[in-house]
Amino acid sequence: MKWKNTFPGIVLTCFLLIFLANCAWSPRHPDYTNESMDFGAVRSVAVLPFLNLSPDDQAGERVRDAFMGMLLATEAIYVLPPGEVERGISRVGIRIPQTPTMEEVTKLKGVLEVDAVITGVLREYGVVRSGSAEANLVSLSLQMLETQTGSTVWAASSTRGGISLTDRLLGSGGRPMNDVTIQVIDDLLDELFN
Amino acid sequence: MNSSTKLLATLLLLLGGCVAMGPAPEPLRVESLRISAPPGLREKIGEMTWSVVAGGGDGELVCELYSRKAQVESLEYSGTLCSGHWHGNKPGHYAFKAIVRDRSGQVADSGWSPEYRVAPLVGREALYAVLPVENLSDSQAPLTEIRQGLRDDLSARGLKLLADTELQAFMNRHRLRHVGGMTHELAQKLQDETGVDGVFLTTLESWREVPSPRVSLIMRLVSAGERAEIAWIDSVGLSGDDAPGLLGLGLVKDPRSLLARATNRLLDSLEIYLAEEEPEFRYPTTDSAAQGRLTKAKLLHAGRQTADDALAAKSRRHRPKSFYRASAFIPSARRTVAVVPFLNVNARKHAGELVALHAVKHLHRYANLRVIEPGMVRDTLLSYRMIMQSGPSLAAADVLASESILAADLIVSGKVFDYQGEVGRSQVDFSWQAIDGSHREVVWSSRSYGAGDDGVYFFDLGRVPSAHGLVDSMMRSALVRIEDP
Repeated sequence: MKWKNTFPGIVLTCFLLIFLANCAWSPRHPDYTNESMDFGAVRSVAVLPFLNLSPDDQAGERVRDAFMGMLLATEAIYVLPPGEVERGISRVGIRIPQTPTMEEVTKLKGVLEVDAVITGVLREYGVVRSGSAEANLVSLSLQMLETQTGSTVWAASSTRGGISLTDRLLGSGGRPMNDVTIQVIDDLLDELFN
Repeated sequence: MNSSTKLLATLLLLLGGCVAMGPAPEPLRVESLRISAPPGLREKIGEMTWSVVAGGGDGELVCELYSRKAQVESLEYSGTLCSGHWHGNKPGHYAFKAIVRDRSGQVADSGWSPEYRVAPLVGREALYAVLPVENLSDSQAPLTEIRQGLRDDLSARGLKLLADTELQAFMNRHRLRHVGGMTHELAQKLQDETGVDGVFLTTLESWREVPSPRVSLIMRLVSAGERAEIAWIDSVGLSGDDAPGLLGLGLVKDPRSLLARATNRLLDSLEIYLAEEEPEFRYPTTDSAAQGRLTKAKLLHAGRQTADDALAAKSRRHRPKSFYRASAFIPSARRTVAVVPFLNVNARKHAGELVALHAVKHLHRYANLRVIEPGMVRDTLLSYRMIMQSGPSLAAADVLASESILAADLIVSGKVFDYQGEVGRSQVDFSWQAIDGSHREVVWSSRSYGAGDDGVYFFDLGRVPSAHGLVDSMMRSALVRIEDP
């Protein structure tokens, strides 16, 4: 009799726990925006090659290309073609274009005539596994450096993909890598323009 | 104010108004529109000159030249110069009209001229050379057999071909090893020494013999003589399991039979070109276009089909995932386009060259675009030692856009990240962009990716088995976006 009374409560608690787990809040990475910077004055940017910390050698170039295309598609900022950025890097003589120094950034202004430079670090790009479940994961952080002084005026990061509850329960392989990449870039563009 | 003062003020105002008014301008009229060739004359492309003689009007005159082909009127020129050259990129019958406007808003019209015929760049009665097949399939293939099959089919359709021994001797004499492109210099030598008027360049994109077989070919006809210009280009991509049908009765297991089908489709498309009925996209000039709004290109000879069957954007799935078009870019303007080989990032061997050839094919279908023969672009890149690790820089674009070099208005380049379609499901991932040579800026950019079975749920309905079909569909969708008003 006692079991009959407590059973619905147990079921309800289980459902509630599953529901709460599903709605679990993933902490956002704090972003940085220089309050004194007039972002409206940034008309053109050069996106430098991203630092690739993932095991996929070409992942940095893939994500950079996707980011450049989507940033250009906003029509808010003009993005220099990658060939021109490459020329600027070689003319300035930047040894590690993924992590330029302040002097190198200011020199780029003279060569490329851009208002800002964007650098990035691709922290994750690949499949994550947990038990029998697997899914694609992308983690990217970006920085904007204005070319007048070479200082950082904006920085943000985003991580998307990974194994969700649905992946665990239904065993699906997660979303395609390109779609996850677009989600990450969308997040970062939202951060930049809002 | 009494009545006499009011009268005086009115009189003064009237007189003041009359001071500004000069004598009425003479009515504007178009005396004549002169075209260099008499009606019915077979004109080589790029040889027509036109001039407008206008009288009367107020101030500087603005002349507009319109052409009409198959009832589609297009603005060819607008400016203060009332004469110029006209280049008809596509064969067919054209009529012309001039409209002259003056400062005071007067408009005069010359009326439509008689029709002038622009003959195909290379005609049916010409002598043709068939160069050896360029193998970009990344696999071993019976290239000699494919070429011989093409030669036999071309001869069977009544085209005169240069003897193999003569072609071989020419190739040996000039150390011609790259068979994927023609230069002006080579085209001139070929005509001078062998009398050839047109050259067929064939690229094997994919070849797979084991079931299910796959064949993809890209073929183009380039004029020999003074200039190496693309006259016709088309491609075909077939797979043995394109249409398996009930109980697999429609499966094709023999690669030779698939090759024969592919060749037939290509040569049918060539016949359409020689009959001057090649499908083409032409931008009509409408009232909204006159108000500065963009109009979509219209397909002429819509009843005719190309070998790749890629005249329409077939699927929403293949729309570009990101897209940009500069607000100042007018897609209907007449332009010369140089397509630079795409950068191959982690895709299969030669993917960059193949996707670039697809881009050449799609852009060539626009009547307002003149696409430079890829052999000329390659030759320029080599002679100026331009190594582009990340695509063309603005300095490289300057070289290609220079009047004395290629005079390209648009430089199209891109990156290929994935190009799979030899076995199993097809998958393509690429981005492309165009740089305006004179303004030195990106005018459009697009990125597309996807797999052949994306959004396919029932009985393989809508599946795209080859990378060839997928890249065609994606490129067409991107071009439709560029056209969008």
